[in-house]
Amino acid sequence: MKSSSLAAKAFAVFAKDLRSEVRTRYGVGSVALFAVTSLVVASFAVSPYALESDAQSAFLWVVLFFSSMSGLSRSFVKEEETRTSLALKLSAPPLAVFYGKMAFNFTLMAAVELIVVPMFLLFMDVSLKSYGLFVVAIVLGTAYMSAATTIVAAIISKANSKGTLFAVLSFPVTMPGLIMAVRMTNSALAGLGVSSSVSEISGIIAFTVMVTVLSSMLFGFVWND
Amino acid sequence: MFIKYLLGIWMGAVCLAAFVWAPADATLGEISRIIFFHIPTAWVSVLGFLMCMVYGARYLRKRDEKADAAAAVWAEIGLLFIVVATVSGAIFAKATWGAYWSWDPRQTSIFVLFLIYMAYMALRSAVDDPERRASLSSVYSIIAFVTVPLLVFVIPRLPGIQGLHPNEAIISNKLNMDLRMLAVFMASLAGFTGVALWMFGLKMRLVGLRLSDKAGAKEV
Amino acid sequence: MAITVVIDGVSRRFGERTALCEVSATAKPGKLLLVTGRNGSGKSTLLKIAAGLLRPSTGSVVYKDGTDDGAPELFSDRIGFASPELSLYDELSALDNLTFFGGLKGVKGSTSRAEALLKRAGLLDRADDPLSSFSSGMKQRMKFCFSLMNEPDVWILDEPTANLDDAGKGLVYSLIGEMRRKSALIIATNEKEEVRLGDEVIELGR
Repeated sequence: MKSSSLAAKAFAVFAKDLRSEVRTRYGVGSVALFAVTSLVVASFAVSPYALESDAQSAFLWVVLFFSSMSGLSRSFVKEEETRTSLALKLSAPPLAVFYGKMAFNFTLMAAVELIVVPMFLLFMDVSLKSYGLFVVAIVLGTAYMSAATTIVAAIISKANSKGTLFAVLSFPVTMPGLIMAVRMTNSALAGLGVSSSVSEISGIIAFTVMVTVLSSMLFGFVWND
Repeated sequence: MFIKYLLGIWMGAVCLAAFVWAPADATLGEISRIIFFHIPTAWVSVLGFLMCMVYGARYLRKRDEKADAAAAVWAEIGLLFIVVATVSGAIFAKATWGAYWSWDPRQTSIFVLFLIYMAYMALRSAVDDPERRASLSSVYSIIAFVTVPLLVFVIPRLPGIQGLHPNEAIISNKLNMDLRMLAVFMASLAGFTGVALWMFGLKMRLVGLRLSDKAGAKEV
Repeated sequence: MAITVVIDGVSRRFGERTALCEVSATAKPGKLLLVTGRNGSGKSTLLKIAAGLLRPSTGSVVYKDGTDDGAPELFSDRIGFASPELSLYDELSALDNLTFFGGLKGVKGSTSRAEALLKRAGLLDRADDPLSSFSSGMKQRMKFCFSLMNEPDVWILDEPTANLDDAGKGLVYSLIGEMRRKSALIIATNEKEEVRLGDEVIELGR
């Protein structure tokens, strides 16, 4: 199979998921609502004091992690619940499904972050000096999370008790990337530039590539019953 | 049968030697004796999950239900050892650094391994169909295991990560470790590994009996 | 190239339960394989194994097309499959569903192919309506359109006339009549009058 047609098929899967999501807005809505609620609660509890930058950074990633947990299993779980996974299995090469859904997960989280991160900066009274590193930290952290959790989402979509199981299985797998992302965000909030976090940046990129390649090799075993 | 007695005597000797024959470390004092139990059990708990992953990979290649049973057995054994390692580590931490737990990178990585074990068990209990349970848990064990070297080796080496674990001290002193300490340490390492392998063998015999029982019942 | 499906000694266990025991049969163009048996006798399981969706516990299914022999998975783009479990996307329109799946299967010109199939199935006037507005009979017809998008060399149907009125049944029978000459057909059914369609008939669960 030509790789360009694999990319086109992955894109088709991504586009279909995206179109369904845009139509209903259910996923983005519920995830963003969860994130915003957590933000509001924390901000309210802490105000009028501002947290230290390392606490702020930790808090941001706690909110993003749990928001991901509420949203990133949707694309697989929905296929199982609406029984459309059989049609997909009959039509698409497994890797197209994997990459398409991974791209969708990344996009979903990015959309939620577009709402939540500015609110975080506002509510938590964050003085941001190092925009570059901050954005890099969020993008790379999200990339790692979507790469690591896509296969886990596929796994739990075929099990019982999907909701809590997804968080339980995801946490150990996301930890390495989360640690890096928190450190980078911390540096950014402390005013340090991209150059201070080179080892974290290369680390998280390496982890993301590794976990993506490994997941793509194993995905077939999960997808094909 | 012979193995059981050999292991029993060996571990008995190790325990005795750990408290009587080997000297206590100069700087750490008597509490350093815990090194003979904490490090070998931590090592076996990592080995246990490695074996779980290896058998999982074998299941995916060969679809052999015995391989999947073996993976589950290693998960049980590893879980036991990691609890021992974590508790003994916490005791050491309290005695030396004043707190049972401080999220030192090594402590974090052993805790995450503990979470991985629990997650693996949770996954297995959440799938009814045996073949699906085997494939899903095999895939998860491989994905999860890959994070262990990252947490144990890569992250603690990042610049600026402060650790309490006497990494440098132990590694540079390893060769300088009193020969008697080294001997007991190595013996303990071998002994605990032997105990784990013996437990595995025992459990697998049970599994073998159960599987052949099922096969026999089917033919009837 | 026409494909011959060879099912050889296939058994399938689910945990303790044996769903299929040493089933052998063949299907090829001009030789329609019909599978019958009471509910729970393993018809759906056999069809899934024949389509490469499930692995057999023992035995094998081999597709032979003159040049290559292999497992069904290797020929997945030449298989068409429809069963009661199959479901398409309710939120998409009929046409969008077919073009989506057609694109994934690598079908060229999937839009015109989809329109032709919808027309044949009598659904062209509903092409832009979401599947959620379709009756069960219309959804059943959609399944045939789905399974025929890639002009399959192996066409596998599990209980094809379920939910269909006489017009629908007529459609199915005429499609079968057209496809049976060029493609290998495997059909599972409970309907007694459909058993006559089969050139080779096997009954499961005896």
